[in-house]
Amino acid sequence: MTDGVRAELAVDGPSNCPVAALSREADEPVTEVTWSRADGAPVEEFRVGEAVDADAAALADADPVLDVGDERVYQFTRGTDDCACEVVESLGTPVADVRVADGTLVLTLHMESVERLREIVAELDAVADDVSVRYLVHAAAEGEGGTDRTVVDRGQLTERQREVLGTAYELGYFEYPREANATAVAEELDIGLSALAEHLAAAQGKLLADVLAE
Amino acid sequence: MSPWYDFTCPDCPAAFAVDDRAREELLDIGCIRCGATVTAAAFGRRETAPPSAA
Repeated sequence: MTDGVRAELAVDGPSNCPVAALSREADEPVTEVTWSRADGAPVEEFRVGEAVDADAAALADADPVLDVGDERVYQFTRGTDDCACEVVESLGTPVADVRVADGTLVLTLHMESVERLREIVAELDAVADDVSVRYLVHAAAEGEGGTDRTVVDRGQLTERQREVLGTAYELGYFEYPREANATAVAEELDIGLSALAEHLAAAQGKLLADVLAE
Repeated sequence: MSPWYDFTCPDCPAAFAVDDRAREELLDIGCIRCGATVTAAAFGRRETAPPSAA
């Protein structure tokens, strides 16, 4: 089972980033951003709407390659100055996906830990106006062994135990912080606190025995 | 399906969506941006995952 994290970062005002500059200048999203580095300096490729003015300043160093539908593919040789994607890769993390809109780079990253994300965000601060996390996922993807199902036999519970457990759950007794305390649950069920405690302990004990069984 | 939460740092402008396990990790290690201690009060339940994370 895998145990890494996925995060999406918004990098506003990235320095040395022609594609971000283009998206801002042309007011068009830039998609399908990829690169290769066969001979030293990376050659970067991206797509932008074919209606974008080919004389745009941000396209001065980019060469049109072909049209795909209503988009045009450009390529350019990336400079040696640090850019956001270079910074991420220099820390040993590939950039899984890049999107650009309104001058903001949106990077999707897969990392082995949240600590690595903290390091990347700190380094990106040096090459952008602002860096923010949009989401953080720390879970194995479904279908990749991320589930651990078991069968819980609710038939072990008496009718009264089910009623007590269900009422406590519905009132928010198990939320954190609690939305209902034991007194409120006991009053709802019209039973004493000790009776509530006994029913809950018995019910939880039975269910947890199934949940925690090896 | 793991539940989702909106995280709002108590000490810095960081605010983003997290799943259940990421929530637990932030409770352990603090805010990604500023390192501030994070408590359960920093999280509110979301109905759905962020669109780009779905």
